[in-house]
Amino acid sequence: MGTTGMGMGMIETALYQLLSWLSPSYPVGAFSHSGGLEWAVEAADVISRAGLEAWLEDLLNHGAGWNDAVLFTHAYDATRRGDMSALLDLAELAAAAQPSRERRIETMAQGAAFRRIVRAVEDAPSLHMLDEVADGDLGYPVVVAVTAAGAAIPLTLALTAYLHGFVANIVSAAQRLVPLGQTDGQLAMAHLRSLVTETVTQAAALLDTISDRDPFGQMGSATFRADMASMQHETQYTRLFRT
Amino acid sequence: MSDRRQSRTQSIDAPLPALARSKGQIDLVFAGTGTGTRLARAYQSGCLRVRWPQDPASRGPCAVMMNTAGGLTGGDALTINAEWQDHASGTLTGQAAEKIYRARDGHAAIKTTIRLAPHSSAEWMPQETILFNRASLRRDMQVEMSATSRFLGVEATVFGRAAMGETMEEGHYREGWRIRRDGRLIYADALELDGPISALLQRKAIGAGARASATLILVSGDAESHLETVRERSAEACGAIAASHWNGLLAVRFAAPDGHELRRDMTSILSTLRAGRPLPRVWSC
Repeated sequence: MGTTGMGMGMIETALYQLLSWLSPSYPVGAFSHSGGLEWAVEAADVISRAGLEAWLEDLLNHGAGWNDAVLFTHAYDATRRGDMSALLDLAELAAAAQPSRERRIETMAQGAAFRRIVRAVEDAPSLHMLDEVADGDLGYPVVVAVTAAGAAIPLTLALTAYLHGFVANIVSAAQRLVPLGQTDGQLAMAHLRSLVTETVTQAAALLDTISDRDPFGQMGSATFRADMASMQHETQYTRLFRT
Repeated sequence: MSDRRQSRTQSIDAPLPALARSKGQIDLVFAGTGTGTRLARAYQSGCLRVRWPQDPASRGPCAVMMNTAGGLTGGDALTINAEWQDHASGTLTGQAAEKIYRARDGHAAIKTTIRLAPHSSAEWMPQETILFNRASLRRDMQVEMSATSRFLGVEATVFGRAAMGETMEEGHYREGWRIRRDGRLIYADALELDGPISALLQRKAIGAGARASATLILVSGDAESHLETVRERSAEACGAIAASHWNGLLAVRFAAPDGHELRRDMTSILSTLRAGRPLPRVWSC
């Protein structure tokens, strides 16, 4: 679903909602997560802006960023179609697809917080489709996608905002950990812009084949070391980040 | 992309095996007898064979799979269906490392389905899979278990044997794991490396220079009790080992410079998880 066909004011409303939901000030606790980057910095795998950019490229091309985009797209689609059974299967897959204790905490803590805040702030009837999913089992991309789909926000806009948040959060963590200056952080954000939009386009294209393809078959991660980093972070002696 | 591939060191292509497009299947049933476990069914067809040597190290029967085709290439397919009945306990391993040769077209496929009845204990521990340049393999493993059963599974892969001067310049590898406990999906992981594999493995978030990797999963009521021991052993590893526990599941990941180091590290961790029982004899041949 593109942005064409949206009425006057709808796109502005969508933008306003997305900027709120995926803003660092939306209180889901994003600032406390680094996705294992804190260990990667400690292990000297990420020591510069170039290293951070390569790390994020891998997550978007071959790692958690891509898998989140697949889950987001399928959750969005199931919500739009009102397919509760597909959505619950997808929520189960999103919970099972975490490779470590901390990655699971990261997506579940933000997922549950997001649902709680949206409910407290606005009317989001689509969230009822997730009533059967307990707080500890609700993945962050799933709940954001269901909320955005319920608000009739186009998929590509919502997923761009989600992945922007994903990237911005790790960049922000890197600024504190590496450390990197504020301009370096923004250079990294600019560097990743085209890859984020490509990832969004590829994920949205999955909808063309969604009826005959299992979301699990479309997921795939090569970022073995990033997954190991999140495991090793559990025993890291000095930590600024929860994950 | 092509520039990057050409600039890499020369790789050695493995010869294509004589038997292409081989198919093989085994169906095994481990049954509890009250005092032990017996193999109640062992169907085999095509290039896949199974034998069960006397193995005092194993708590139940240890079945050993053999691929008589001597390797796999594009279009080949192996299917393994194994079931552990109530109170059965047994190990399934492989006679040798599985070799995946250059695919002219299509993928080699290995599909494993494991079912565990309540109070059963299954160990899936084939030896490592060796991928040659331009190999293409898709592996799918599905496990159905109950909250009272125990599953230990491992998949190990060598992306070109460095000690033999081999490089997996390019190719395709997918390793899908799905584990359901009491009908609920509790673990779903898909490792996927596609295209310029040796270049990808250099990247810090992917392999950081490792050429061999493995994933080990233990789902068991006492999985958490092994975490500290695994971490202690990891400190002495040849390569890198990382472990995590959540939700009754212990996940251990290995990344090593080559197959030899990977095997040493896996042997160390598997011995710990198997309460000191030695590994099946084929592992040390």
